[in-house]
Amino acid sequence: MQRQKLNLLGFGKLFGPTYKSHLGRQNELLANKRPCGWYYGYHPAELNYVFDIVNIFPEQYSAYCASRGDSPMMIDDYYSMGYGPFLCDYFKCSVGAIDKPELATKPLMPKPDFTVDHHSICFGHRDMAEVHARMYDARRYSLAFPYIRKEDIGSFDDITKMTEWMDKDVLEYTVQVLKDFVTFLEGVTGEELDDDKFKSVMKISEETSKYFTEIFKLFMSKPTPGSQVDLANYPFVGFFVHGSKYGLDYVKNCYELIKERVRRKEGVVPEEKFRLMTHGIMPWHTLSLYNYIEELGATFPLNPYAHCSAVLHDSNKPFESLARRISTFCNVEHDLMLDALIKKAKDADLDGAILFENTGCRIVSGVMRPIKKALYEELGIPSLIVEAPQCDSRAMPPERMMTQFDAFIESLR
Amino acid sequence: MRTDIEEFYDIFLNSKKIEEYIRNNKKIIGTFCSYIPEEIIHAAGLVPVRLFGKTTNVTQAFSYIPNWLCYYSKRTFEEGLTGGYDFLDGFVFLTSDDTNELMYSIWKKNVKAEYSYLLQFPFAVNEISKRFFVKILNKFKKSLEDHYSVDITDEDLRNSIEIYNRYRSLLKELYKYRFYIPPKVSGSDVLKVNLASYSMLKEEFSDKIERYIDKLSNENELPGKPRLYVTGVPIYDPEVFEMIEGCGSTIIFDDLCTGSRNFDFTIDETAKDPVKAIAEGYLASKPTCGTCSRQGGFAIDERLSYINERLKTLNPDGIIILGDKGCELCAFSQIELRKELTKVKPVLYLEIDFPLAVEQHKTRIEAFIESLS
Ligand code: SF4
Repeated sequence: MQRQKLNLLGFGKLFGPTYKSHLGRQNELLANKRPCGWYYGYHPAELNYVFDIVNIFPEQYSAYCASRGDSPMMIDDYYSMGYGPFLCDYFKCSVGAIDKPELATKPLMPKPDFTVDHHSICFGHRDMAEVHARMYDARRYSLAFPYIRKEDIGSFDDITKMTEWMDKDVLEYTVQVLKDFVTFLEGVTGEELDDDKFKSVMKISEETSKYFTEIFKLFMSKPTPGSQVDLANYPFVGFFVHGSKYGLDYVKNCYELIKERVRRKEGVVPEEKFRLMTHGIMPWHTLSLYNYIEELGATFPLNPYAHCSAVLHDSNKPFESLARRISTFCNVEHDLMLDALIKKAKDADLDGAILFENTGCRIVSGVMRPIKKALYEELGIPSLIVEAPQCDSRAMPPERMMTQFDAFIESLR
Repeated sequence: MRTDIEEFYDIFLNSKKIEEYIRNNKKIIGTFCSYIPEEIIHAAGLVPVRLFGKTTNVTQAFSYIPNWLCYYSKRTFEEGLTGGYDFLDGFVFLTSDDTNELMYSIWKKNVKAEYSYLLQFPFAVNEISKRFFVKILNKFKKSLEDHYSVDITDEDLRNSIEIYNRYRSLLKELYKYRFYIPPKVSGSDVLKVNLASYSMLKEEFSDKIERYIDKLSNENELPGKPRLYVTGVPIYDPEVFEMIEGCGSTIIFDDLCTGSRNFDFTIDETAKDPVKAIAEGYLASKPTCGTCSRQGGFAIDERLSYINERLKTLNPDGIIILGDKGCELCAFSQIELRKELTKVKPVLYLEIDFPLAVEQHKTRIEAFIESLS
């Protein structure tokens, strides 16, 4: 198949200044001896901006190490500590980095004063936080959010996370957990929650969430306006810095770019041949794999893994908004997840799907076979499942993946 | 005594009692975790049985789930897929970890049963989570009432709590016969007895075990051998314990979720609100497997303190930790567990999978036992 020239949206270039601002804030807060917390994806990130907390993200750090090619050494160290193969790469890398900082990518993560885990993505977060906190003798807070069943919400939107309804008890409990967490942060900082600041951060968050959700919707346009590589920083912004001014500026600028691209009906490749869904954690060590596929004319209008980082907030109901965030594809029963996904797959008018099974990550890997089945049974769409740990290219070398991609795309013709 | 043990084991292995219940038109509900409050199912007039996939030949399951999940989930699901649980009227899962959450949906879709329910477990032990768990259990109760057209009264619940408390205390009593120096009963035999309790009504089991304990009290002690404490993942294949004891040891205690973690707590029988009492019991009194911990604390510390207390009183010669590389909870905690327990006693870590690599394990167990003497 002839390769096509890619026309990236350029979200990646915009990200540089955003990350710089984030690091600048971090350094300033560290210099001012503000408390440092380690957080795991999809926590209520906004509260860090209300309480001026240094927010560190072991998962994002691990992805960064993988993109720099350092993760294999850190993972080897993890094994040498006696751990087994079936935990996720984020845990492997982060534990390796703590154990042998000399092997890890610099700058290292600053030591935590406390860790904050939760259960709106995976149980692994809880266990990982426990290990991290013990390694540093740090305090630990656990946001014991509930898992969501069909009878709790009816249905939900894969991008906005808006639910048909929310069970009163589930909502009330989740809000109580969040409020208890605020009490914890008040204790850590010795400062009471500043209501005005909370309101203004939530306002920023709401605005960010609107751009976020719009960008994902626009991504589903025909032709697909951007590359998956354009979206590579979205989990960082959505999961970790939601509520920051620099996060908002970033998505605002991205929105302008994509809006214009869609208006001009321009795609990421000159001739879009196939429209695919991709799901699963991105292979951070070789993001160019997406480009490899896109150059063949197969674009990705839909990425439910990236959607996980989006949510539509209502700043008038701050706690309720934060609570609603627990309806992610990985924290809901499969019937709900599949309904939401099939709806989006229909809207995106897909020809196929490439699904990454991230070894060791139960919640991501566990949904791939049911998704493959549902896409085929309900929409007649074929899928390719590729076993691909997100930070370790040795388990599935990119060359081998490419061969699988070639064969799959060939079969779509 | 041997016949008694084999009779108990037969109940588990060949679902002897379950067949009888079905003949008597009783409905069977499968459960998947020791945190599921069976008292509520029992109070509805149903028969709760804990499911343990016996097959070691897992093939079909891999069309639905990754092959690196824990053996418990793989084997149980394989059995479900291949008709081994056709007797089930329903099943109840609990959100105890990523695998259980996942398996609930997979079971619901692929192992058809009339009734299915997912209980949300709140993990943290504090007032907020306790209140929530009471609500969750009340909803569960209501769901059983609606589906099976029954009323579950407070009296029914108190009666079931009493039956389960008696069952738990009798198992505790049985375990005491392992503490004798030398013990009166082996770990493998106790496991076989214990397994029967998962496949029958607890009131019947209690009557049966009471008679067995009576006999046991008059039994001679077993030959003296190194005494081991076993901890780790759920074990429901007696061949694992037989392998360990066959190498010249006696397992004097196991805190597995098929062992003391299942029964080492009681529930207030006199509480005004029995559902609240059940919630309290399971959330705050049951020995943790790493699933939940007090806010701010570490589950592993709670687990270690439970183990250390028993090590102090029982003073075994060594500890065996049984691991499963597919078990998420075990994979995260085993390093710390090994590190801390090694400070107190000699420790052997064994990674278990099925079919069991007996010869390979035996070499290590023998060397370990040798080192204890
Ligand atoms: S990769 Fe999976 S298991 Fe690991 S932290 Fe992310 S969601 Fe959890």
